[in-house]
Formats: sequence, structure tokens, C-alpha cells
Amino acid sequence: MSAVTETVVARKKRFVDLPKHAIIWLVLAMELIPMYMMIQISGKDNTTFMLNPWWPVGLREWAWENLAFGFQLIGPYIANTVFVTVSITFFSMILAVMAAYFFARYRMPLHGVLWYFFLILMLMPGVANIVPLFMLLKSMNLLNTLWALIVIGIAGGQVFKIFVLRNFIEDIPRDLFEAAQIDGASHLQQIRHIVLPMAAPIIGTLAILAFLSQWNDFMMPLIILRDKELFTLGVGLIYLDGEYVKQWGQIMAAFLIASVPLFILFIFCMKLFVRGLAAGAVKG
Amino acid sequence: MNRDRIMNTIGFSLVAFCFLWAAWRIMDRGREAADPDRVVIRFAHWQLESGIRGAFDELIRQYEERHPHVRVEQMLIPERVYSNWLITQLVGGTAPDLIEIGRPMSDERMARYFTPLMKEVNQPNPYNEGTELEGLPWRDTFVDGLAGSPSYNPGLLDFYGVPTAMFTVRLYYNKDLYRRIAGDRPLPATYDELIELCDLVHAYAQETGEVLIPIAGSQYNAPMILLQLWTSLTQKMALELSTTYNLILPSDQAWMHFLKGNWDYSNPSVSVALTAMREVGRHMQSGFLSLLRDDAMFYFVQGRALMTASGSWDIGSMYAQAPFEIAAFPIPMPSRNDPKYEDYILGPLSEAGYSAGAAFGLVQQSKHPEEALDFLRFITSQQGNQTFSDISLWLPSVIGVELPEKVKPFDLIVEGYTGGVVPYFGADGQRVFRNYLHTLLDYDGSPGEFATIMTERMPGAVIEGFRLSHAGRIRQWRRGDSLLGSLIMLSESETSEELDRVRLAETLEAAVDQETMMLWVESEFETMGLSLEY
Amino acid sequence: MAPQTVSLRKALHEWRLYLIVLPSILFVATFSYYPAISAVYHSFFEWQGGEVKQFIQFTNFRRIWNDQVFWSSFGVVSILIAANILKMVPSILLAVLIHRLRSDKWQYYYRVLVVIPMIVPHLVVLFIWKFFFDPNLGFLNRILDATGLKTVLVHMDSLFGWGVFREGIPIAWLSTPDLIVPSLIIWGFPWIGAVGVLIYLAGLQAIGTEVYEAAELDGATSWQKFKFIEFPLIMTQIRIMLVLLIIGTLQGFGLQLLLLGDSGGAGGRGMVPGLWMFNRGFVAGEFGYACALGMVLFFFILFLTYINNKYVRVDK
Repeated sequence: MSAVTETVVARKKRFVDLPKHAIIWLVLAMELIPMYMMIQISGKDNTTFMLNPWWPVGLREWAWENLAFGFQLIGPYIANTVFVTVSITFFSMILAVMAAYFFARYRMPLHGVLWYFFLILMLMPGVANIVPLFMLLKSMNLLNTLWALIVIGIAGGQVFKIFVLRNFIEDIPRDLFEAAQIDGASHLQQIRHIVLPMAAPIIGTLAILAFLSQWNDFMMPLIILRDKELFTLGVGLIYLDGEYVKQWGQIMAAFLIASVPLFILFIFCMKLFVRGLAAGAVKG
Repeated sequence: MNRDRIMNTIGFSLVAFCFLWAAWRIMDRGREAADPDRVVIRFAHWQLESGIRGAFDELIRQYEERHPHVRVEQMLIPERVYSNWLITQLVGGTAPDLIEIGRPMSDERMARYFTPLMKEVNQPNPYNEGTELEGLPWRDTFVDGLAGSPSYNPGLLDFYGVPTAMFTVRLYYNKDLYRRIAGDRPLPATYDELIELCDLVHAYAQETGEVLIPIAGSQYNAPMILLQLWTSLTQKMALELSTTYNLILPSDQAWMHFLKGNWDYSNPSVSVALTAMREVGRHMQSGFLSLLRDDAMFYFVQGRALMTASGSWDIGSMYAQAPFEIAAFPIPMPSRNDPKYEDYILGPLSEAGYSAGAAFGLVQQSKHPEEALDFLRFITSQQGNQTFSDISLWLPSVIGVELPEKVKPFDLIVEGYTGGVVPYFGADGQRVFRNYLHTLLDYDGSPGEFATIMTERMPGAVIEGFRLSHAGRIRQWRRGDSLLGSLIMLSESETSEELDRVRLAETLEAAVDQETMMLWVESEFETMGLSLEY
Repeated sequence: MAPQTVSLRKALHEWRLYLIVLPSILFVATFSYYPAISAVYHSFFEWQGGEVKQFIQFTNFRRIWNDQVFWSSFGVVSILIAANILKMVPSILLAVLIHRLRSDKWQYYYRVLVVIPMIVPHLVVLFIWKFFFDPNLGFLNRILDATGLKTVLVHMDSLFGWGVFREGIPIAWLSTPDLIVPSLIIWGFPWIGAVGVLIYLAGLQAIGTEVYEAAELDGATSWQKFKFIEFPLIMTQIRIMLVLLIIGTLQGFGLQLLLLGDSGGAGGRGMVPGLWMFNRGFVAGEFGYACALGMVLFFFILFLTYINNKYVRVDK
């Protein structure tokens, strides 16, 4: 091709994508509206809000005190949620990796039974379990404690994680394991030195997914917790919405603060998440 | 790769740091709460209105001053989660010591989880010493004598709650706006005057181009006006239907007459009532039936409506939110002197039969029942209730409490007549009524349309209502037998007190009354060929 | 590599392996299995949640048979499932759009941007949407008025006789019985699920460029490329999302609970099976009946999964 045609073709190529970009931006903008609303409303007091609900207010008129109020409202809730969510994510990953190792590496007697044991659970509507679960917690004296949430969170997440992890571990070349066994590594050591590094992306993704779903959970805390000091974000936000309805500026400020931890999580784990989902999705 | 590792390390350390901070806060909290000498009493309610929380806080402060070893905590439960919160706490055994009762609760649940207070309410309240109520049994210090629900549970024949406030319903109005629209005109005293006022509002709005509506309505407060119209205009009809001549037509009897065909929706009383309801409804904002409680309040405090109906429980919120002067007057009913209405109306409705509300019941699982009851006595003493009323602007439940200025228009109107027929019977009936109210009140609705639909749907709902209440009565009757048996033994034993015999007499009377009702319903249904079974 | 088969004798030697899987089993057995079995057990009782229960055999199930609310809730949830399936489309389309961009840099940026809305906690999105639905202050009504769509709706209303949209009356989305299901469907516009988009994108990336080049040579249009290349090759992902979606929607009730309250909103129109179970158990206190409802729901899901496995096959 001549130089002229090349540039022409190149320029054409550049604009071909324009409509795609336009559509994508349009869609993304719409998706981001709730976030925009949350941020801009959090800076207004009620009267300003009534007069001008849509457009953000200048920095000078920004109602910073809303943030202080918001933090006071949900600060404790964040602490509780961090404690519960991190504990759950951590322990449930450990347990799941161990169980997946069991199923992926060896076909021990009872393998089939135990595997179906886990599989059937994926079908159970969790809804039906809430009532007896509640009674079980009562008899264990765990009601109105954060430990109940942690324990249920760990149990609940097992099945899916084990399922995905098993697929992954099965793909790790057996020679690695055999080499380690020859070196005298115990099962736990094998897990630590082989499985963890190799399955890191998928473990990371599962961890993040677990973290997210736990962070957002409100059903269990709603039923189990009584004391306001113990509330996690889920329940706290519900009570907030019920109590302070119509004080939008302050509520939005509280919501904004509730989003901060996730924001931080995302900044640091973005790559991991995106890559992990890619790896996991193709497998699935 | 390196940058990734650094980011991940920072990420993880941040997580670890936050976790440790959270864990520390939680441990710290645990340490604080584990003080063995302090008694902690918790009480829960759903009153989110402005001023209530503060009033209770003040009462708590005063109480803790007197009793330093006790700490009292107030728990506010939003209405949205209230029902399932209640069940979870009661069944789970983590309930607070005192819970506000007054929401519909089955008798079984009440009996299982709450403590009957017959003994306690018959003893004097020590916190009333020094007042004219000194020495009076606790129950007699209340404006309503604890004679009704929710304090007294007729199904269980015992007292389960102690009330802290009284409630009435009025029309709030915007004083500034009223002056502008109607000048010195006296406040409407009859229904027709109210409609005239509404017309004035429309005229004024036309003239000035302002967007104004006479009455701000919602699905929450419109029924207050509408139901009152209905009960007023069916007063004479009820009198004619009554076969027991005791000046009140209980809903059972009224609706049994309906099933028997002694009145229906073509009855002139009903037609006039429906017409009046529609007329008033047209003066509320369009589509008000879809709006919620807060929406109407919002309209009103924004100055877009001249009036809005609500209860005395909203006084605090109204005064806090309205930037203009407000006051209130009773909802005007049609005048009996008016030839249009004299065939249907006896006179203004009396509020003498109202029972006090915002009652608190003692939970059986409570670890400190004595202290909890003591706190309850404190807040329902004359002084306690005075403090409460002053701050919350709620009508007091205790005799002799001075009303704050703002509350005076809400004081009970004792003189008057009893109401007529209630507009629906049973939960199903209420549902049918509310679901089809729009056929009456919509732009293109009419009383005729509403009457047709009600004639079609209400009988089924009423029958269902009777079935449910009958099943409930049978349960109560069986329960009542064992209660009566034990009371008889108690009153005949050597250690019996006067109170036991009084109680036996009252219980016997109530039980006989209920049994009569039950048998009456059964016989009526048999006569009509209807079945009470499923 | 498939798991190594271990003989019984060797297994006794390697007994420590069982220890590794034990904690997982314990947790799951105690907190998932035991409640499930207990639920089955209690569905035959009249149980109010306390220690007292009465064996009533199949009465609960007979009651379910006649329970209008329960069966109509299935109607509601079926509509929601259909709507949710349609809601999968925007995510797929967005993934395809992003995938087809020439610049890898932009693909990465967009991946990140798609994930950012996930920062807002789910509950917050729910409550902000609740605010959107507000008749007086809400975004939805404002936009409808501003763009003139409101007038269109009013016209359509008089055409079809819905009786819902009126001139001058703010639309009360969540308090009008007939509008509740539409509100549940509209919720979440434009219905992009970040996780879904990322998963589809990953699947799309597995498609080799040769396939595209061959298609270009054959002169395929964009639509044909989608229909014959992309769509079939991400079928696995779609199938997984579909199954999860159906099971999730069938039992889900959190959205309805928070948006409409525990009775399914005005006229009970938003009642879904899961919410009815919650209502009977935690609002009415009829725990035995709630367990029975749960069992019926379970069998429904089992049945659907069975059908899904039998008939929705994926050809590699």
C-alpha cells in the first residue's frame, strides 16, 4: 500500500471504534449514577437538597459535617464488619483449600460419598435453613454474637470454593507433588508450597468474591444480632434507612463512608481480581 | 511485577491493620460490658417521632441518678424490621426487658413471652408519693384506668402492659397560610364548613397561581378522616340495628347484620357516607392513596397544603419540621342540625372510650424483672409522665399531668356520642376495603362503583373474619376454663385474698361474655347456612 | 490430572488426609446439613419456634396446596426470572463491545471501570434506588417528566386502560400494586453486572484471532460474528450464569424485603416464594409452616436443575 493509503487506512481504523467507545461510556455513565448521587448528596444539608437535588454543590458550600455525623453513625458498624468479613474470608479459604486438596489429589475411600455430600448443598435453597439455623445458634448460645456470623459465613462459602478450587488443583502437574513427597513433605506442606503459589490468582479471586458477598450480607445479621454495638454494615444501613429517613445528606454521607473500605480493597486488588476472574472463568 | 508485589503487600498489611483495630475495638467493648455490679435494663420501642427519644433519654437520666447501679438502654427499632425483629428476639431468647406492645400480637405469643401484671397493677406506685395519686392502685392512676387494649388483654383476661401516652387525631393546619386564605374566619366546625374552606383554598390558589391543596393526604392519614366520616354517618343506622340496646354496636354484631342482609351498601346512610368520603378525598392531592405517611407530612411542612390529618403522636415532628406556625382542630363532622344529615347522624363523636397507648410489656425472659418494673413505675408516675409529656409533646396517660400549650388542642373530647358501624371486619375485610378504596376516590371513581365491588367482595372477607375470630374464641374458651378452675380453687383456699375473689368475679364475667359471643356466632351462622370450618 | 486412586490399605496409612478435609466437613455438616435436615423434620410439625411443637403430619403441606399467596408468588418469581434472563443481555453485549475494541489498553481500562460501581455496597445501591423511585423527589419521575416519557405513558395508559399513569399525579412506583412488579424489573438499570461482564470477557478472550480472520474473509457482518462465533463460544459461561441466576432468583427475597417490606409491598404484589417463607417464619412466627414451604421450594429447584442438566447441553 502507498504511504497515503496507509495513513488513510490507519485513520479510518482509529475511528471505527468510536461508536463502540461511545456506547460503552454511555452505559458506564448510567452505571455510575448511583455513585455520583451518593457523593454529591452527601455534601448538602436538607434544605439545599430540597432546592437542588441534582447538581453538586461547590466546595465552599460542601456540608463536611455530614461526613462527621456519618462516621459517628456507622464507624462501629465498619469495625464489626471488617472483623467478621476478614475472619470469614481467611478461615473459609483455608478450610476450602484443604478440602479441595483432599478431593483433587486422591481418591480415598468415601471420596464419592463425601463429594456428593458437598455437591448437593449447592442445590439447597438456603432460605429453608434460616429457621433451624437460628434455633441451632440459640442452643449453642451463639445468638447475638459476632461469632455466629463468622461461623455461618465459613460454612456457607465452602461448597462453591471447594468446587472451583478442586478443578484448579487437579490441573497442577502431579510431578510437582510427587517431587515434594519424595522430599518428605507432609500434606500440609505440599499445600503450602505448591497449591498456594500456583493457585494464587484463583484463591485471590475467590477470597475477594467471598469478602464482597460477606460484606454485603444483611440477612443473617438482621436475624441474629440484637445489640446495636454488634451490628454489621448490612443491618446498620437498614436501621439507618428506617430511622433517619428524609435526612438524605447525612444518610448519603454515611453510605459514602461505608463504601470507603471496599474502595481501598479495590485499589489494591484490582489486578488480582480481574486476572483471577479471567483464569477462573475459562475453567468453569 | 515488583509494583504488583508492593501493592499487594500494602493491601494485605492494610487489611491486617484494619482487622486488628476492629478486633481491639470489639474486645474493648466486651470488657466494658462485663461489669458484674451494674444492672442493665433494656427497653425497645418503634416510636421514631421527633422528641420521643429525647424524652426517654431524660427519664433515663433522672432514673440513673436515683439508682446509680442501674443502667437503662433505649432501643429504637424501625417499623420496617419490627415484626421479624420481635419474633427473632423473643424466640431466640435475646429480647430486651421491656418491649412496647400494641402491634397486633396473637394471644398465644403474648401469654408465652410476656408477664401478666394483674398483681402489680393493683398495688400503689411508690413514685407517686407526695401527689394526689399517692396510695392509689397503679391502675387507677391512669386516665383510662387501664381498661382497654393494649394494656388489658381481653383474650387472656389479664393486664400485659402499662401505657405512657394517650393519642387523639386532629387536623393540623398552617396558621400563616390560613390567615392569608381565610382571614379571620372561624375554624370549620362542621363538615360543610370544611368543604367551603377547601373551596376557598382552590380559589386562592387560582388567584395567586400558587400550587396549593387543601388537605395533604396519604394512605396513612386519609383513612383517619374517611373512617370518621363513615362512623359518624352510620350512627343512626347502628342504633336501629342494635338488638342489645347498649348504645354501642360491636363490630361482630354490625357485620353479622350485614351477612344477614339487614344492611348493605345501598343503604342511604352508607350512600351518604361514601359520597362525603369521596368529596373530601377530591380535596386531597391526586393519587394520595399511593403516597406514604412521610409524603403527606412533606407536602404540609413545605407549605403546599393548608391542612393535614394526623395523630397527637406527630406533634413533636410537626413543630420541629414546619417553618411556620401550626395549630390543630378536631376533624369536622357533618352537623346533626343540617337537614341533609339529620337522618344519619346522632352527634359529634366522643373520645371518652379511648385507651392509652405506647404501652410497655414485661418480657418473661427478662433477667431483671424487678428493676424493669421499677423503671416502668418511674416513667408512669405523675412526675415521670409529666416530664415525658413536656419533652415529647405527647398526651399524658396519667391523671393530673398538666398539658403543654401545644398539646392542648389534642386533649380528649369527652362529650359526644358513640360511633356507628365500623367500615370493615377482620384483617381480610380491612385488606379488601383498602385495596378497593381507589374505586371510590379516584378521579373517575364513584360511590356506586365502590358499593358494587364491596357488595361483591366484602361478604367473603367478613365470613373469613368470623372464622378466624371464632377459632380464636374457641382457643380462649378452652384456656379460660383452666384459668377459671384455678381461680375458683384459689379463692376457696385458706390463703385467699380479697383480690382473688375480685379477680374471679371479673374473669367469670368476661368468660361468660365471650362464651355467649361464641355461641351466638355459631347459631347465626347455622341459621344462615354458612360454615365456620375451613 | 485426575485424582489418584488410593487403595484401602494405603488409605489407613494416609489417614491424616481425612483430617485435612475434616474441619470443612464439620462446619458444613453442622451449619448447612443439620439445619436442612431439621427443616425437613419440622415441616411436619406445627411449631412456633419454641420447645413446644405438635406433630400434624401433612397438614402443613395440605395448607400449602391451598395457599393462594404461595402459588401466586411463583407467578411473580417466574416473571422476575424471565426479566433477569433478559437482563443478562446487556452484560453480554457490553462484554462483546469491549472485547472487540482494538486497543488492549482501553480494554483494560474499561475492565476496571466496569468494576468500580461495585464499590458501592449493594445495600446502598438498593437504598439509592428506593430514593430514585420516590414519587416526589425521585430521579425516575423527574426524568420521565423531563423527557416527555411521562406523557407517552399517560397516553398508553388511556389506550390500554391500566389506570396507573395519570396526568399531574406523581407516579408512586413502590406503593401502587400494579407497578410493583415493573419496579422490580426496572431496578438496576442498565443491568450491567460487573462480575458477569468480566466472566464473559474472559471467555471471549479464549477465542483465537484466526477464527475472526476467517470470518472477515467470508465477509461476516458484526451481527453474524456475534451469532456464530462469540455467542456459541461463551455458552459455558452463559450456562453457568443462567443456572446461578435461576436458582438465585427463585430463592431470593432480599431485594423484595428491603424495597417493599415483609409483606411484599402494596397489595402484596411483590411477594416471592422466599419472602413468603421469611414472612411465615419470622413475621408470623409459624416456623413449622415456613419449613414446609422451604421444602417445597427445594424440590422445585431440584426439579429445575434436573431439567437444566438434561436439556441444556453444550456442544464443544
